[in-house]
Amino acid sequence: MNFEAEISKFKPSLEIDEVQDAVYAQKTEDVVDIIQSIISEHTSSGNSAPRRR
Amino acid sequence: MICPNCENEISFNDTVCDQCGIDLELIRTLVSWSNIYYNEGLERARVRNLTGAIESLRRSLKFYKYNINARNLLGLIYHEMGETGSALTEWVISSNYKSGRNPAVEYVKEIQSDKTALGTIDRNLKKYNTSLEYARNGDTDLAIIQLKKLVNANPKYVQAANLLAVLYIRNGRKEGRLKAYKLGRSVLDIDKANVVALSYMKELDDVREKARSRRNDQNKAKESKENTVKKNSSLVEDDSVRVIVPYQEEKPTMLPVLQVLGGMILGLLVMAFLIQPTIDKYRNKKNNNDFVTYSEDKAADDSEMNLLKEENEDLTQQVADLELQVSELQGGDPTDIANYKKMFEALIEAKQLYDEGDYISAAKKLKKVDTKELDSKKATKLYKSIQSDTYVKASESYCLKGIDAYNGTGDYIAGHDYEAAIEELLKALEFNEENTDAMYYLGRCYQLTEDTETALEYYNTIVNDYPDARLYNDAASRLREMGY
Repeated sequence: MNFEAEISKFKPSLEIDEVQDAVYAQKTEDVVDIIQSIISEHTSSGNSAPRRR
Repeated sequence: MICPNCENEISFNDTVCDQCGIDLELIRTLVSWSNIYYNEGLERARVRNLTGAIESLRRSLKFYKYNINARNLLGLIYHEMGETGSALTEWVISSNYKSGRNPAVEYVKEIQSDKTALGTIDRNLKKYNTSLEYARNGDTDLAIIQLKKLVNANPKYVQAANLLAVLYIRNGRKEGRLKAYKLGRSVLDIDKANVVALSYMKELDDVREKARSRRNDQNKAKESKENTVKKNSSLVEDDSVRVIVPYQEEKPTMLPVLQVLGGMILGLLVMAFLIQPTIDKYRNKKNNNDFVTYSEDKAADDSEMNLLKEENEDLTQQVADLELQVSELQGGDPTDIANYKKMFEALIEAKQLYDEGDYISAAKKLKKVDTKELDSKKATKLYKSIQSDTYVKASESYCLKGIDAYNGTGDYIAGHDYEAAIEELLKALEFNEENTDAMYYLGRCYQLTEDTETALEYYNTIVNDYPDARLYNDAASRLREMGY
């Protein structure tokens, strides 16, 4: 067993006082956002598209 | 579901968002994909494939971040695996997206409400991170010491158990490998597809084989034991009703009767030799105590009786003395008795007036009392206790009245009344012949009424006999004024 390789698989656990930062750092873009941005780009070039706020 | 544009809550069947008007058809497709992955994650979680469930749920959230169910379930899985920090992150985000009717809100509240438990969780997470650092730096012994305590207290902390197992394997000791195997088994019970556990469990094939053979031996031993039991029991068909013992009526014997009688005799003997003496002893002791108490009470009563007898004799003597006095009085002059009675009445009234502060009236009453006739010690004592004080105060009162009459003040506001002043001042001297103020003002009254001789008498008395008198200088000055 390659100890170093095995050890590298381990990630540190998120501590309680790091939760707030983790919440803010979460990636907020999902596929829906991506599709929407694509659509809105398409719309702005003149095609019909669902309205965006 | 939540509108990705305006974050308004909408129904899955809506085609357009009520709030922002965005077309929801494409979004619904993406949400469906998210739900497919969520369902997959849920299935995996149910069969304890937590690693697989995490993967599915993350994909679900990549499609649609507002998938509250996926996020909540992801948090639960993290929590199950001991990663409470990650669990809280997911739940906080979930409750931010949807605050109403969201279990994540309750999960967060539950964890945060118990400050002590939260502190313990945080310390455990820090301990694991510290141990990981030790392990990376090569301090495997330190890491093992920390992790052992951590895993014992938190057997579901998967990462910690895995790290400990890996460290045991690295040490190479036989018992370490066995411990690692057990840790691996426990991790796989929690998460069946845990990649790390599966990989180091492959390293422990030899331990697994040994464990398997031991299990087989145990099973064999168990089986053989069961077989032995089966052999010793009578052969019956499996589904037949077994006849145990046919009922036989017992033959009547005297044995039970004898046993009962023997027990009774034994009980009586125990009573006689053990219990009764104790009862008698206790009874005797109680009787003795009662007797002692009675004797003490009787002695106290006798003593009291003697005291009462003495007091009775004393009282009888007093009564006899009083009767004698009464008979003497009764036998004597009736006028004497009436005078004696009046005298005592005056004395008592004087005492009352004195207590009320009416010294003049008290003094007048006292004047009626003939001290020579007072043959009672108590009456004499009473008389003396009030007489001096009463007379002095009565003298002062008369003196003040006299001065008012002299000055034309108080009751004599109409004008000087030297006659009245002389009268009052003489009464003052009657009760207190050393009242030098009364003497001075008498001198003044006589001087002003041209009775120079009498005036001189009073002034000279003050100057000659009372050098410390308050009005000494005034008296001396009047004498000089008169040419003396």
